[in-house]
Amino acid sequence: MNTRIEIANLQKRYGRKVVIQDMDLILESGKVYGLLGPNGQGKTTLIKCIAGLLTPEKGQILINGEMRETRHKGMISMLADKDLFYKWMTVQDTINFYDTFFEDFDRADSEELIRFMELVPQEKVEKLSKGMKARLKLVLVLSRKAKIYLLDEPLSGIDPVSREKIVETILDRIREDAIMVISSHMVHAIESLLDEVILLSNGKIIAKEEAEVIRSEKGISIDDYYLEVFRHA
Amino acid sequence: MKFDNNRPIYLQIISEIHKDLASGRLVSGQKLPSVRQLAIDYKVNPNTIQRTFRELEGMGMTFTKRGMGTFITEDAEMIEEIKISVPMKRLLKLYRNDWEV
Repeated sequence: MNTRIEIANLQKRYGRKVVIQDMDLILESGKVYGLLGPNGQGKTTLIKCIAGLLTPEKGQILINGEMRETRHKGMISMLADKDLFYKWMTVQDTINFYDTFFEDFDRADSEELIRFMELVPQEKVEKLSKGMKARLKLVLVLSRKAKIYLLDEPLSGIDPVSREKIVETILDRIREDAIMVISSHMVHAIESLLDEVILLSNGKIIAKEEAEVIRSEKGISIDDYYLEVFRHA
Repeated sequence: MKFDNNRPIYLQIISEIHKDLASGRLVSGQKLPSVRQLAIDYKVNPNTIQRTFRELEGMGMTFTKRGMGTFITEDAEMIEEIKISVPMKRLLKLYRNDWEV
């Protein structure tokens, strides 16, 4: 079944600071969206609103035509910037944890991904390097057969080898019945993954374009497009 | 393979397929790999491959057999044309670079 997210008139504030203002956005399954913009433009806030981790002051988020509720959390697999592991956990423990917690967790797939990412099941999560930890987080998030994947900065601070592995894994897990949103300011690294590009500035969408349209009509890469837009923003 | 990010990726894949035809790596009537497989091989979004397939079929370079996949055309004339066009394009590109220098 197809999935559709409709965001209308969304507003989110932190105290007096408006982080998202009057945002309208439609996201459809089978597509990979790049949520792009410099730091502090509202990327993470928007993702958290969709995930239900933040409650907006105004506007609505509809998932398949229904108001976003707690039960929709089962459809959403999110990669957060924070680590959610206990210190005593091994790689295997995190897998077991996710497996018991999430109904849609595909254990066989997680084992394949662990191998591909060259993670050692017995290793303590605490001892993992930043790159390896990022790999593990992605394994957990993508092993769920969710309808909506929200990947917040999956590549920031990651070495090139891990980056390539992560991009390849994301690519392999793109499904026709799922929505994928990837936020990043490392535009170059995710360029070939994207169907659509959403540029955020000051809590507003300043551009939404198909990736191939940018290349064919403007004759420039998304990376250059990004620079062009934000240099004048 | 590395793509030039300044040009539509589907066009670059089409020219890759042209090159494969010219070199004989792909032949008339041959089945192309699945969308998913090509997406992994080229490391691009499956929708980009789908677009490539649509364009190829639009040009008459491929045809689809329902439930079986996408195949290279059996039109010998067309394949011959592509085989000639690939080295021609390369030559033109060379000349163009020469002129620019």
